[in-house]
Amino acid sequence: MKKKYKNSPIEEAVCEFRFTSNSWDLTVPGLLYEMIKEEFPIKEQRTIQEFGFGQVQGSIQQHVRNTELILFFSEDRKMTVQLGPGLLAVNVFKPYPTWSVFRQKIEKAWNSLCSLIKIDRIQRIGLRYINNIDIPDSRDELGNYFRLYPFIPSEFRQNIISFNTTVIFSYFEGRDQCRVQFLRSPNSTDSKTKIILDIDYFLAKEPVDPSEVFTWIEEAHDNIESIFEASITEHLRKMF
Amino acid sequence: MENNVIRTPLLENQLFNFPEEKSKTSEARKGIKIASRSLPFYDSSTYMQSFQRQIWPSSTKSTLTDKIYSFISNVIQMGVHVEEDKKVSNYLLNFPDMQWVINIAIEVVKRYLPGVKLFLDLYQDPEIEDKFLVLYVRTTNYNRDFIEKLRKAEEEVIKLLVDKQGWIQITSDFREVR
Repeated sequence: MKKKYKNSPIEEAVCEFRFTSNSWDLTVPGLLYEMIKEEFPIKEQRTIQEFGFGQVQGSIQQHVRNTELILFFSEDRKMTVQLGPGLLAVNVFKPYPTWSVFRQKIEKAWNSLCSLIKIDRIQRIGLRYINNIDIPDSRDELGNYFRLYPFIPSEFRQNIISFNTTVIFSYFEGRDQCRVQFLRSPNSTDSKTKIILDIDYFLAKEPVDPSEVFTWIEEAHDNIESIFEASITEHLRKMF
Repeated sequence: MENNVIRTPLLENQLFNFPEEKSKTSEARKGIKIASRSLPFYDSSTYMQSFQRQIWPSSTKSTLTDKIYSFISNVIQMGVHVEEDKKVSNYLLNFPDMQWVINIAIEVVKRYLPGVKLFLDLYQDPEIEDKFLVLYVRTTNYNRDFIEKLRKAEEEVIKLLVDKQGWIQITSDFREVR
């Protein structure tokens, strides 16, 4: 985010591309590694399980799919590039390295991949920021820290274990959407409330032309920044 | 008869796909009509799609920390106190396969020592760059039997660490349980 905070609450930011390509094969991860290994020298393979519902002959069926991903970590493991069939993601972890650094890593990974394979179609792009915010006094009103929060009548406040509020906003006539989740971590204690402010901005309607990817990402980042700044109070801002 | 019509929730119909001829629920056996098919907007081909797209669009899933937050939440729900959740989650980010080990470790300790209190923390050596997870076991009565069972539990868990890069120690700090 352009506004620089000394103690940024960003726990993780991720930029994810989902695409189709007829030129993908098993050599691509190795070739990409050669291109980015100076910045991402550590390789790891992980299997992820995806759950979903599909329709088979008129009935809804649950399915589980295993996908092999290759992860390339930076030396300090504070950044990673994830690559799999139809997926490229760039993650950065706390401490957030500034938008210009993050954007440069996204550009490097995406442009490298595009030089190896032909992207037929971008199905989805997502830019997501997960903020982890500790409120020092759990008796304090959330309204002192946030402008976006669930209203809870005072008679219920003693009984709160957790809450999760989700708002979805639409941008550019529905081309993009942004899901904002405001939730209380179950690891909150009597003395400290832990809030997760999760802002997930994504392409809701295809297509985005591959040449316009970075314009889309810049707009996504601007909108995420606006949501974040509008969601917090000056009092909380001073704590960062 | 009209009073006996049950309008089942749409989502339930979609997920479990109750056609009338197969509805052998207790209500159906009693002769109560399940009215799901009579709803004009019930159409399994479009409902789930619109539900997914409009009400709950898919998220940007390639985050690594939110999976760890979910894991830590589950651990807390299993009754384990997580001392420094940010440090623990940071460790799990680097050693994700330790999540599986932690789950088993909690089960093993609870099997040997039911009723004890568990605290998950990250040990950091102040002098060298060495970090590992510690599952502290606390009880009201630290007797010989407790020590013996704790040793057996630790032996069982250590076997799981053979091909793992991370490490977890099961021990007690012999603190009082409040």
